[in-house]
Amino acid sequence: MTRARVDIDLAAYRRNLDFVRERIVPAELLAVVKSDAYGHGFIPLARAAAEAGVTWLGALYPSTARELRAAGIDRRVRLLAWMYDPSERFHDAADLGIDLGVSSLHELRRISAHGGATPARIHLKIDTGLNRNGATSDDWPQLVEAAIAAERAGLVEIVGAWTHISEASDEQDTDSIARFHSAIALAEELGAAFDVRHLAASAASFARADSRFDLVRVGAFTLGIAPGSGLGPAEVGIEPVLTLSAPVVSVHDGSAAIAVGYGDGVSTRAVGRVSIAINGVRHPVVAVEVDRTVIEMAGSVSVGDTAYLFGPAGHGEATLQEWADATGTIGEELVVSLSPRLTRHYIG
Amino acid sequence: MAIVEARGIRSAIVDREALVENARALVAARGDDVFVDVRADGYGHGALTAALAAADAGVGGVVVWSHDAAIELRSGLFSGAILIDGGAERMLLTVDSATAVPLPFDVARDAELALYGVGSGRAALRVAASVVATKKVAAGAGVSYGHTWRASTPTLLGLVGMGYADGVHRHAGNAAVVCVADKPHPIVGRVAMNAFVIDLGVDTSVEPGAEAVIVGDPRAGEPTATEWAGSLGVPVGEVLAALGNHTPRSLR
Repeated sequence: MTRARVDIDLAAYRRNLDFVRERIVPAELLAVVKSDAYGHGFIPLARAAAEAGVTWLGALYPSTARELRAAGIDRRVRLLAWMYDPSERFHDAADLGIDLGVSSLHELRRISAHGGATPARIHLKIDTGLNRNGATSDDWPQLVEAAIAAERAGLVEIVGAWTHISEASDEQDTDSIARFHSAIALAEELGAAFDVRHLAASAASFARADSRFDLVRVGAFTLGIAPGSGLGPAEVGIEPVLTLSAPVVSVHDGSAAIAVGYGDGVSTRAVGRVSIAINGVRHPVVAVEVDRTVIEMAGSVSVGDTAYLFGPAGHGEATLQEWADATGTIGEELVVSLSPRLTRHYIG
Repeated sequence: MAIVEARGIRSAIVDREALVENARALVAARGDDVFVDVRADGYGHGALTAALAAADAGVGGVVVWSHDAAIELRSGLFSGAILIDGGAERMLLTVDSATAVPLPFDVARDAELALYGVGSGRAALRVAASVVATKKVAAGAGVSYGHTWRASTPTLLGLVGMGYADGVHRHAGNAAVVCVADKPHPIVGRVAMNAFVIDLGVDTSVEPGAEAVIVGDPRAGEPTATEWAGSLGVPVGEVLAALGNHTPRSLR
């Protein structure tokens, strides 16, 4: 090992999938694999999920969904995409079995123009307070009516209704859930019929049965990434899948340098806030440079020793949740920030 | 390179001419024995692209962080001197030798990242993303996870298809600006994994499909990596590497 290394434990991923699925019953799991499965490698993880019997994958971009089909994820696994380039034509979405999120009349029009013989399968999105994408409650009836007209014309098939909640507070989530129910009822009165309704992502789905509906979109918890603010993977019942480690390359005067730096995606915010495990002992981080991280030695360290930055804690290292809490962010940011050039090694 | 390119949601465009120009200025100021730093994959510009551009301008050599990085440059037909600065030792791989030899002293380096236009040079990396949606909101509307920003007056919000998975720090919310149609707009609310929200104000005709420039040419009023670094309190090299290494790059 000359520089940093990322290890991905597929057995832990499978165990997390099982755990999540049991927890959200009777809702089904949509395993989120966007952003290269949060830096873990979307193709190996998608394959593991498909083999484990997961029936939905969240791809975000149509191009990712196409790559999943090309990698052998067959049509028994439904794929959902919901963010589109200006140049996306949707021409092959129906043929490839890619379901499409629709947040606006603009998107509905673009998708309806796909030009294929088979209707495009769509999930209508309502904004229930997050104020990102999704139709506002003012625009919702018009979107639903236009979707129904497009369905009657054979251009689309309305499959789902969905939203995304802010998790700003329990109260606001209750409000969002109520708004979702109203939006569905209104759409059904207008003549829409939904096969799947989905609202929740990881944390809410665990905490509240009323958030689960037919399908739950889970990314973080499948990867063993806990919400933080003190709540770690062990408390949730999930196992971290990713380990980041790097070799000690120099030792001098009470400090040691490890061959990983901000050029690999480790944030300079780690300085003075986190410690790295070497030989089972934690050593505080005193500097993060482009290619190295410097620690103050709190025990014996030699050149060639392996330093563990974050992982499942088996070598005494921090979990993502601990590192994220210490640096004022969330576990997801730590993993997606890792350079795509670091090779992911798969075990299990 | 296609004349008409499919426009993706995110783009990272490297200006090779700008790199060459910056390298020439560096050589003029520091001498032709100066080494440029191409670690962190050329700080987001591509190590090989940066190395070849610097070679065109006559620099003394390049600095990399591992033997593997040196091999990649040689495979890409970069034939200049390579300093492998890997930890305890420095090894120099010259034009004539196939083996790196230990170098007990350091070389003259472009530590300020002038090659990449940091300081007074030309910006060589342009990172942009599409506005995927716009939405009118009322006063009091909270935005994104945790509602860390609320609209004080009715306004138009834009959703930009780039997030912390693409090198935009999650802390950029309520701290940094991007440019749409030559006007700066603040990022509001928490940056999400694949999107952030900007406040477009009330008198704007921005529509989905418009381009938001995250870093670009300061001569065009676009934000710079240095400004981002200042807003976030991080090194400019970290900003460049994060933005340039998480989106497929193309050469201008």
